[in-house]
Amino acid sequence: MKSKINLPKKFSSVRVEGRVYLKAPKEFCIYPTNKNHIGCNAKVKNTFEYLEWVHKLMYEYGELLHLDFSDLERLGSAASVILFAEITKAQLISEYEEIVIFTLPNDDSVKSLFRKTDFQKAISPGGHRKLVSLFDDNNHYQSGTDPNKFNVSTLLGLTQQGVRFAKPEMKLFSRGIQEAMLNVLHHAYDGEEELKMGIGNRWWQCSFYDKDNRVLIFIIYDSGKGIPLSIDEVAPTNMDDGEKIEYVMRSGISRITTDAKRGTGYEDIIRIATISDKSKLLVYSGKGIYYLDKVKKISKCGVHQKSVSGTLIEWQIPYE
Amino acid sequence: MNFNLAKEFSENPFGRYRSDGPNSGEQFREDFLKNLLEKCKKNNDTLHIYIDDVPIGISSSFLSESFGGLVTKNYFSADELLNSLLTIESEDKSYITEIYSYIREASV
Repeated sequence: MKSKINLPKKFSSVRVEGRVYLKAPKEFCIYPTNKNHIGCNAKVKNTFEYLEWVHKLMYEYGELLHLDFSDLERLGSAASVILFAEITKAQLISEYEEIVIFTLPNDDSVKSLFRKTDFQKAISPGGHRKLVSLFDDNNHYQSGTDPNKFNVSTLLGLTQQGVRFAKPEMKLFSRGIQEAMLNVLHHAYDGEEELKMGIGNRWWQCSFYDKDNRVLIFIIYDSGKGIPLSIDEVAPTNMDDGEKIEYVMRSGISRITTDAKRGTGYEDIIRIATISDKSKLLVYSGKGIYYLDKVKKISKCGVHQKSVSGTLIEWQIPYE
Repeated sequence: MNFNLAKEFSENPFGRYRSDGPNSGEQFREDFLKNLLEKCKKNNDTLHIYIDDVPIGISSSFLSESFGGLVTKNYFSADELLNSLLTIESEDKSYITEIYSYIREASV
């Protein structure tokens, strides 16, 4: 019985016209506020809780959702990609295009951000055809299972925004993108048939050139088993999830497994962070987080109370 | 013998296995590299591979599968490849170092 669910009062949740209504927090963001202490804070905790309820209501209780962004004041890119993933995954698995509807933000600048960044189209009702359309339109937000196709499309999309990949540093950037996609295909869902049911070896991505700040952004997220679980057999037993990510990123997993082929991609992923002194790398996997900021010479890892249910990698690379 | 990766194989070499796409490291090794190196070996020649015309970065997966795979598949030894049979030509010396390291590591 649907009425037995204790809907979260925190998100003003009620049942309206056959849908569960969830009001999004004012700050929908999982970025650490203090880079010296990257563990959980109230803003991040709220966002993770919201994402957890979105997931739970659709997958455990089979509910239709109405997400209300009317009070939204800040939308973080990483959190937006995870929400894009939750919504499109549910659309694909349920084969019901309107499983989630939403109310746009009241704030004009935030509403404009929804449109300008293509986020509005990305989370709109739809299914496979919508994903094809996102690809065809070179939308910032895309999702796929074919790295060869999406690698070309992503680089083409950034080229159309003025990025030139002939530069040596941009070749490194394109290598990282390729490997991140291949990692999803080869490792993210390895041995986890249930996780890829209805979606395949799928990832969700957001890439764009922020001309105002002259920064290239690339975010890739998969809902697979996550780095901490995948290296459980080779990582020291006393490590938490954040330390396991740091362990992989620092040492290169190819050096800590017996299979030489595994994880050469992590070297390409970490190498992007050496492109410039202002490069930033952020990795969420399981309950762990790893942050690398070259300009501030910060390399930190930490843990959250909630899991991202997969792996999210974000690069921010200066591009003049 | 000279071989231009971009012009004679693909401008978009990508992926490790054939299942990753049409221009994978496995395809390059099996359909091009192995045969070219066999010809060179027979003629006491060296294969010079030019990679700088590829307009995007070439990923580690492609490189390790192509070149390291020559050794792991026992087609050639690391010594014969590195001593006389194969050279990589690129202005980006890091590519050369990386490819040679995949060949060396494959022999361990």
